[in-house]
Amino acid sequence: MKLNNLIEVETLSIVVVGDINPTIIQPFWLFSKKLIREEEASNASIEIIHNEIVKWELDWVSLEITKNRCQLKTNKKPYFDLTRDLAASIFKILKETPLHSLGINHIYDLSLQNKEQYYKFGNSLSPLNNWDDSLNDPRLLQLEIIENERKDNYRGKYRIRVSPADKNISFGVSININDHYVFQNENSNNGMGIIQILETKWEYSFQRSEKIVNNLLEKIL
Amino acid sequence: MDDDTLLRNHWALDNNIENTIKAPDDNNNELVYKTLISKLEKWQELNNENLNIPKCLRNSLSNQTDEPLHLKLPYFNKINSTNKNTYFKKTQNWIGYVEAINDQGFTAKLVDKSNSGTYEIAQFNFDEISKSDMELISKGAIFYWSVGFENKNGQIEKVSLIRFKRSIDFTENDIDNISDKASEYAKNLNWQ
Repeated sequence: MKLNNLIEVETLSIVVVGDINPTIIQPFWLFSKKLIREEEASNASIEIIHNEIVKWELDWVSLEITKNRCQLKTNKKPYFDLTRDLAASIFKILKETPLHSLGINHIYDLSLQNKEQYYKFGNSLSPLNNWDDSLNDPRLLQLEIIENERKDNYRGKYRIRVSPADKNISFGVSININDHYVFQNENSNNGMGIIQILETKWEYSFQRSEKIVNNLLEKIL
Repeated sequence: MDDDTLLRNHWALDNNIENTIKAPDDNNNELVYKTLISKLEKWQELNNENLNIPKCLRNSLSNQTDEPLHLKLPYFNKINSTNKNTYFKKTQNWIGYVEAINDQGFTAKLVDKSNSGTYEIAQFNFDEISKSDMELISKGAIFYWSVGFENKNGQIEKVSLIRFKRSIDFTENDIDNISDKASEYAKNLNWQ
């Protein structure tokens, strides 16, 4: 599979949108619920604890929480399932928190082989000869494709964004897939809905995103 | 409410804090100011110094003009994630289920995540388990085992990693609710 040959970094992020109290979700609170180890809580790297924003990280996951958004992120594949467990458990405990939507973000940072392949990638996604008359040496910078109605009968969207990857990756392309679910009753308790999706749609979310990226690479490269 | 669940990479604290701050133009910038004030106050307290934080920065951020504010700030490093340059490549991942425990370790059934139709039986020694996870070992306990290559700031290391699953169990109330919901769905099924 082309994805396995070209992937440099795979990042996962789980984003929950709702009415959240950021100051609850701190390292020692998670330890008190036995969701992380004591030494992890003690050694957590805390950026800020503020009533509007809490940002801290462990060795394997970083958390950013504001009043309407909780984001967990990791780029360490062995910890993807653990990140899911952590997110699901947080919202099992905070089951009275009104929640609105859930996003499972799959970010694939690929390293293409050379500058010709890099150019071909952008040119295939969006034919650059359309711009030759108006621009000098046009290049694709960012592309976004959206599936407005999910095909699995859940409310939400499926969004794919293609952009250059981090500077550290040579001929790097980042494909960011946002698997977005909206809950039926906005502003009501949807903790169980989130947990249900995280538990039952988790593997499917990965399979679908990998298939999309592989199909794209097979067609283009 | 904005229900966007895209990953936000460029958070307020990901940027270098410079001596010139422009007027806020969106919610993220407003949070930059609030977090900056928090950091400045903490710095003042630790260093017993008065930075003369402008009032306009504390109050009514929306009253800011477009003119940039020049401040004399101590040097704050960009908040560098310790993990930014550490990631895994080419991992093989299994989910393990503890089947039996003995004095030396335990036996587990391993399901290959990339090929879930098959499973293997393997033995693990307690030496391979982190001390903090020892209390989680019990018959039926779930763990994650990954073998792969970790890139740590350019240095590649071969890694074998075992971590036991930590999660909150459903309460009896939760199970009752799920069961009620399942019954409701079942009533609405049209069998043909």
